[in-house]
Amino acid sequence: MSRYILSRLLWMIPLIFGITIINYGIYALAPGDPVSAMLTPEEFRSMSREDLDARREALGLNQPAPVRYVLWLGQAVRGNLGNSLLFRLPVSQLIARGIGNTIVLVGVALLISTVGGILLGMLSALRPYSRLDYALTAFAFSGAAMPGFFLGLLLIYVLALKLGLLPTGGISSPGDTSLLDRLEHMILPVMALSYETLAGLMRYTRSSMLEVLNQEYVTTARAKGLNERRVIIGHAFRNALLPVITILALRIPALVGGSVLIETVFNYPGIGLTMVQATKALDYPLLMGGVLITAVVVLLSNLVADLAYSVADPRIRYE
Amino acid sequence: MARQLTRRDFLQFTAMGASAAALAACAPAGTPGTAPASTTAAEAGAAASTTGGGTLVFGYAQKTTYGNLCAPWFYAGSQDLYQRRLAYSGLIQWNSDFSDFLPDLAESWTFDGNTCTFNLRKNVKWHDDADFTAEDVLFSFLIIGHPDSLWTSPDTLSTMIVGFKEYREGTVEEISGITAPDNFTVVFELTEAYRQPFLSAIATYTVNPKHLLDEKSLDELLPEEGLCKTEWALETGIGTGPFKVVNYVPDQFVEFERNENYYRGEIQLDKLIYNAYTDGQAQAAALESGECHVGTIPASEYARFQEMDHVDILLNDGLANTAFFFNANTIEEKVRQAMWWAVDCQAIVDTFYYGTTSVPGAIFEYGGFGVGPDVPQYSYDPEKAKALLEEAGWDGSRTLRFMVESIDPNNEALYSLVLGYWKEVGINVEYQVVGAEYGNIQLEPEGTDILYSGQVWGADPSDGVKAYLNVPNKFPYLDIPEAAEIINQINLSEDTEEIKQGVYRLQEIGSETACILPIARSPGIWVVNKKVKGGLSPIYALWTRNDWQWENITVEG
Repeated sequence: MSRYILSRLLWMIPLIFGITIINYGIYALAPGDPVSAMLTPEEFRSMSREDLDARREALGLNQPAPVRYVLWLGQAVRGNLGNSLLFRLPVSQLIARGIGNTIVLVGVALLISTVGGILLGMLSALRPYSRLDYALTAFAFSGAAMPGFFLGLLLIYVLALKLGLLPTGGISSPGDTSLLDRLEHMILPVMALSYETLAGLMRYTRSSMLEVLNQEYVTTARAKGLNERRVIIGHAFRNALLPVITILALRIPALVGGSVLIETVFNYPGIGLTMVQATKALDYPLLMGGVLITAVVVLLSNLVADLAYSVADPRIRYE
Repeated sequence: MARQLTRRDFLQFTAMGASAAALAACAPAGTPGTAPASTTAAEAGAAASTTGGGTLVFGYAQKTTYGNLCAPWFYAGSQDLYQRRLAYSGLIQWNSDFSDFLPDLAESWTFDGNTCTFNLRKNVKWHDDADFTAEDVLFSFLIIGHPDSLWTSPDTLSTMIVGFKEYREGTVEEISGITAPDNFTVVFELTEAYRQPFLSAIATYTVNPKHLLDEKSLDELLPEEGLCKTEWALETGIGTGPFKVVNYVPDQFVEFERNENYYRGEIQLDKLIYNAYTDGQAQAAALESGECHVGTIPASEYARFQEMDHVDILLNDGLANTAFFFNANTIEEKVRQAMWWAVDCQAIVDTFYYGTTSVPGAIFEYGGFGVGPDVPQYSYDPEKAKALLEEAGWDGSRTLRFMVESIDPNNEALYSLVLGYWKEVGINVEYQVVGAEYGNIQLEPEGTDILYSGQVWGADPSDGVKAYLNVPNKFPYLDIPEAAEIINQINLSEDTEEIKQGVYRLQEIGSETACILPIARSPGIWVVNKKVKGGLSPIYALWTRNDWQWENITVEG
């Protein structure tokens, strides 16, 4: 297993290299330049063409794109992701500032959607076509149909503004950095972010469980006299888990991407917002840093998913 | 044989790692080296209060807080104008209606020919109890004018202050025209007998603490934004303003407490929280729920907030319009005038802006002079527009290009309205969507025909006028020598009547040439919670004004 993990980690290197080349190419092909993109119309009007050229030169933007990429890569392998053109701060500092918040948001949403989705899916499968099943199905379909940002706005309107139960947004109350306050502020964004994933996982778990519950080995387990709980959890659920793990692994990048909208709606200072600003400003260093981190997160999550297969199914062995 | 990683080991390792990560991630946020923040704002206010002034939460919707507290460069956006003036002070400031200047760190100033002498307040302390002196002023201007400073505004100072240009170019080490004969006097030697434009430029800048920043030379400190990476910029934010920084969490908030030694008077507020909202709707929600006491709202929220009992709404237009700009190289004057007559600006103000602002009477208004009596006025008259087009021999088959970076959903309705008005009189306009090439194409003399943007004319004629009426090499490519002469006269005049007449003539030129079609005054819709007492009067784009009279402000409850 350890050799397999090492092999997968080593394969990540050329993958990330390819991802950075493709992304840098896309940014280089985008029209315009960061200097004109980052100035307001009034500032632009006050600057001469020479001023603009001097600013581009100061930021290293007068060099060809391949040269800029090689320079960036040379520094990146040393751990230096450069300075943001827009924020004028080290990219690593900006990413570190935002990504922690995003990881917490996404992580908690993932946990809730996983646990909730699986439990509700199992419940739904154990009582198929009952009122509970229909209710949960409707719940799942509404989750699949409703965009997360719209749900977020709805939650703010009802729970925060009308009922006054929770804060409207932000990561904490102004001036308050206690854990309890932070948790209180996370409730609504986590609900908005996790609903869609929870709904999808619930449906997959339900159909996967229904398929497994009809298998002969489950009938055999019951015939052997095992209690129902052991049959469901020890036999049926373990075998129903494999496709669910696949779906879960595919949802992680979607959660990271979805967090951008949720962060905007809830004024949540995560990496998603930073990336949106960087995209508008063609802030190459920050975009490349963000892409790098996101690629690592996605590839690692795929690795974890693959390893989870071997945990769920002893027949799967990695060498 | 090496022990292989088993499934049990993997599960245990994963569980431990996930638990540790969750605990670490949920740890309270804060900057290193700061004192722990109070548990809640209310509790903090109660604990710290000796006057019971309460805690004010000031919200500002912006894209980012950027990275630091000092934000001396305008690239930080308007945030620096609000946040910065809470902790820092300048020599002087504009008053609330921009008709005069008020003392700040300078308690008085005098002009004598080409010389301006500022007499500084004595016994002013920095927030760390160090003494404020004239050396801090000199040091601050060395930073502003340094060759490695990316600030563009010093170009104005380069024109006005002796020796500033040479310092900016890096040929000299000091600015010969700024001197300090003693600890409380600063003398500026000017290239001409500038008055208001000079004061307007000086009012832009705040003073930085030399004792905290002079460990390194400026040549070492400033390159690669070094100033913004100092402890002063990232954590302490030491200034001389009414509030001092207690806690700064980037992209979230700045927590201030009152400056006990504020020279303008005792501050009653216990704390002030400056909260950055990255989205206008998020800020509106916070204002509605009472989490935020002061902030702006989008025009679309105006009607809804008017129904609320717990807030007051203040409409304070800024020193700016929203306007369409026409390329003088590609659209002749009569056609430009026709395009102005063709648009019903009042209807746009009533619908698109929900009646929260007004139609400008001229393309600029300065110093409380209002609009000149002879300034040509345009109203909605499509027949007049058609007549002008006929006089101009307008070719109805021609299509004008309206350049946009992208079709912003917030403005799409406005664009459709105005393009519809022009189409009615026979002027076809199509979108020219250019993305990030927007800036570059503006520099091409015939790159496009029409732009839309904010038209900031500032607090002084020398600020904005020359950016619109005297720009032969930039959009709108209008070169009016008379305008340049009038601006020079105003810059050197102390005669209010002469300045007023000059402003009126500039307004007339602006209306006659019609290169700018001002649709509406830029709306500033401020919401102030009724718990805020003392007459807080926010203004759109604070500009350089610090006349918020924080000494009088308290928050109930």
